[in-house]
Amino acid sequence: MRKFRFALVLFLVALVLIPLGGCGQTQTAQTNILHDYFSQDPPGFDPQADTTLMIYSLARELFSTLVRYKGNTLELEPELLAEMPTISPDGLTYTFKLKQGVKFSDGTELTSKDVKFTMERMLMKGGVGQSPWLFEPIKGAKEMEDGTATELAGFKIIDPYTFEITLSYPYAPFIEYLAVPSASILPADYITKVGNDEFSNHPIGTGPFVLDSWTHDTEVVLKKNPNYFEPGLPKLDGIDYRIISDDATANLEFENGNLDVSSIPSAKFDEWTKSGKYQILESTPLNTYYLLFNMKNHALKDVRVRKAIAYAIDKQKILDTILLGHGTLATTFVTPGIPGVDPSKFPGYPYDPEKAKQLLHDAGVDHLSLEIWQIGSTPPDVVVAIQQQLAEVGIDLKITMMDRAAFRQARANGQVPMNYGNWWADFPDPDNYMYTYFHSSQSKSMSSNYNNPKVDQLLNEARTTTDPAKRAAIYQQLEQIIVYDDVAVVPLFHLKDYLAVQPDVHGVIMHPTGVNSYRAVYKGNQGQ
Amino acid sequence: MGTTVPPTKYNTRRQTSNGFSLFRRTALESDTEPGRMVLTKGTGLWVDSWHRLKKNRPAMAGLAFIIILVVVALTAPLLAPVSPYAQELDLRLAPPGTPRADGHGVYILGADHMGRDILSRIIYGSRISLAVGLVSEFIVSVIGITLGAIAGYYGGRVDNIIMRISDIMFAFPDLLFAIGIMFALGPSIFNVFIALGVVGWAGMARLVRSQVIALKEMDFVEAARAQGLSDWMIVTRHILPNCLGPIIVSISLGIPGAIMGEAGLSFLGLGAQPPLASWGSMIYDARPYFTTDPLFSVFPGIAIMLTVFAFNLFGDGLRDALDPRLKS
Repeated sequence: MRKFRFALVLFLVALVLIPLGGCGQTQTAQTNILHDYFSQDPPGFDPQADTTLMIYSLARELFSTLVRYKGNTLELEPELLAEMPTISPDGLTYTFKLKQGVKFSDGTELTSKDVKFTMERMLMKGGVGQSPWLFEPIKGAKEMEDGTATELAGFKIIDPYTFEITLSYPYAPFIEYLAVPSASILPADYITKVGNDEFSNHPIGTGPFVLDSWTHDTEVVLKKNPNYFEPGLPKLDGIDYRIISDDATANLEFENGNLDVSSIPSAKFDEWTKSGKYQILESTPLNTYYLLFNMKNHALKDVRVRKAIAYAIDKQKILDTILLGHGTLATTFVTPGIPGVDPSKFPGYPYDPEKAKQLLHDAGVDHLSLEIWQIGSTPPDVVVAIQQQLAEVGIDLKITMMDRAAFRQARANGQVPMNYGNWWADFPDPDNYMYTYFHSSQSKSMSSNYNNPKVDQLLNEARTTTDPAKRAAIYQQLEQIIVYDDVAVVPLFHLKDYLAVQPDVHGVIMHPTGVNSYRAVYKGNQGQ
Repeated sequence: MGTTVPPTKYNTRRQTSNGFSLFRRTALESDTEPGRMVLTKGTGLWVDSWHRLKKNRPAMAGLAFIIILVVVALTAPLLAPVSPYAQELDLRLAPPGTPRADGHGVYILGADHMGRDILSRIIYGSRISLAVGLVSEFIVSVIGITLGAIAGYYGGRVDNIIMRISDIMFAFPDLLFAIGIMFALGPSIFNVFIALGVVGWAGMARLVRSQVIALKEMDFVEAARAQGLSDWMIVTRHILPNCLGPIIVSISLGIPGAIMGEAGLSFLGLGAQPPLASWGSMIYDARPYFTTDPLFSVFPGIAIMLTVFAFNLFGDGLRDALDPRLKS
């Protein structure tokens, strides 16, 4: 008995010590791996099947698009294309030439038929594509979405490296669409062979990295794509994304050197930026943080109530304190920096609680109960501040927290009464903001339930207008109607984005669309 | 006649359902032999017990603190320096002693991450803690006493079914079970009452059952039965009044468990929802600031600690006072 006990103790001691030894070894062996994290497990790796920033970031590493943004600018450059497409004088026909010799990670070459397959897969009725709008301007897209056609009429393969796309109307932002990560070109043969589910779990692409392993809720490991078409890239051997749902844990892991990249918690912003221990990357992304109203919500029906809410929120105070001043106040729904946006033409809603009370009084509601629905388990500080500021003008705001899936479902059904949310531009055009939220064909799915025939007509008109000055004028008119006349949304802030990076990591590209790229990242002196 | 398991066997299990339990109930019953106290002394028990309790200084200190807490909770609007919801965003995380921007004195215990007065929030938080303790123990008592009395009195198959259900309840880790209920019902303070009540009844049922089993064989119950009284009358008028002592002690020791439970659930973001102030949710709010502003979490922590300590002291004293064998 005693012997047995001794053996047991030895065994337990060994059990504790062995992993400790193991830890030290693995870390020294993998110095050329970038350690990053996600706050939740990805749903899969199919770039067409989801629209979150996480999937967009993964798509940037695993796949390639026809065109892409140059570095951290908004200027386009060819990626899979050999050169920028030529456009016919009527603005309808685009001719594309692909780079030759671009290979998927399984060795097959990317050709025109993969591009055609990708676009048809996105548009196919009953398919997995979540962003059909990307290819909707193409002739024949409507028929594919309705299920009356199985081939995209506007797509013509000329030879394996040349193809022609015809649009149903001249549409200037179309070229921008092609740089959105959801428009990544996918392997036609592989997907046809293995099916959508298998592709989503074991994707192959032409990006700088390929999926090595995926342990659910634990980690996603990418390794270098040996067939990547850009010489000398990627410089890393791989990327190891851990799934860490708790931000505080992730920040601690970063402080301990176990992560190379981390978001910066506001409680530690000063500490991290002043310590000089880390590189702090800053970008001014194209985003708008807003308070969106559901026009079908009974309590919000009166425009005076919505206007009162807009005046009752002390946006400047919230920005300066809770958000540490990291951004600017929004006066327009579309982010300044996007062509056609002129914030100086709009006054915004200054903080004026007396006016808010007056408006509520005029509307005949001196006391009002409202609900706001948010994703997550704890309300964001900003919403708690708004709750108190509304309480001061006599509005009782109830915050309801929901998990992501439930919220998405409710939003798609047009049920979310009010939401503090944000929109990060997929591409720098006002259409991407306004059409998505306020065209009557889309507004239910964003829970704005906004329906104004005049706005629909202007949005459609802007889509077919090619003269930039005319387009800008239309979008300014839309800002006036949506934000100031109808108060369907209260634009609050445009926030900066910060990333803390360990000092030996170089070459992270932080892009204004919020999609970062590790293509050119290297660690230490290697690669210089 | 029925199952006659020695009560002590069940009683000792009640204390440690799963080794570590958040809603810990200290054993009070382990040595109490049901019935005897009543037979020897009759109604004088309560007076006797009070005299014994008065001599127990720690218990009286606990009682004093509880009384103060009740007064604080009842008069919170008068005691709190300012509204617990008023935000002065410019003074987020202000240290103790910082003057308020609106001129109403100073932040005695500092301001939280929304620029709200921590002292006022602790004062208002006492309402939540007391309410959770009392309401959830009320639910526990209603379910536990009813089921325990039925199981103990009727025995046989009814007893078997009820006790197996309570065995199942014991097999679950309490906190996990409460979290599960909270996920099903959604986070709110009312659901905390329900979750804690539903989780805790099994212990009370076992206690009452063991008491009832022993008492129903007593001569005075036999006499009541001979008079032709209904089962309802026998249980409510003759048996239950005689197990009141252990039940009261169990409740008084269950309250701190419920307070800790609420703090735990609120700390997980499942309990009190903003802007409501509860001690657990205050610590939850303070989480990102543990390293930079430790005081923010320390003050509500102290409030929880003192309250739980006071209830435990009082409960222990009550147990000693109600145990007749300690009488000299």
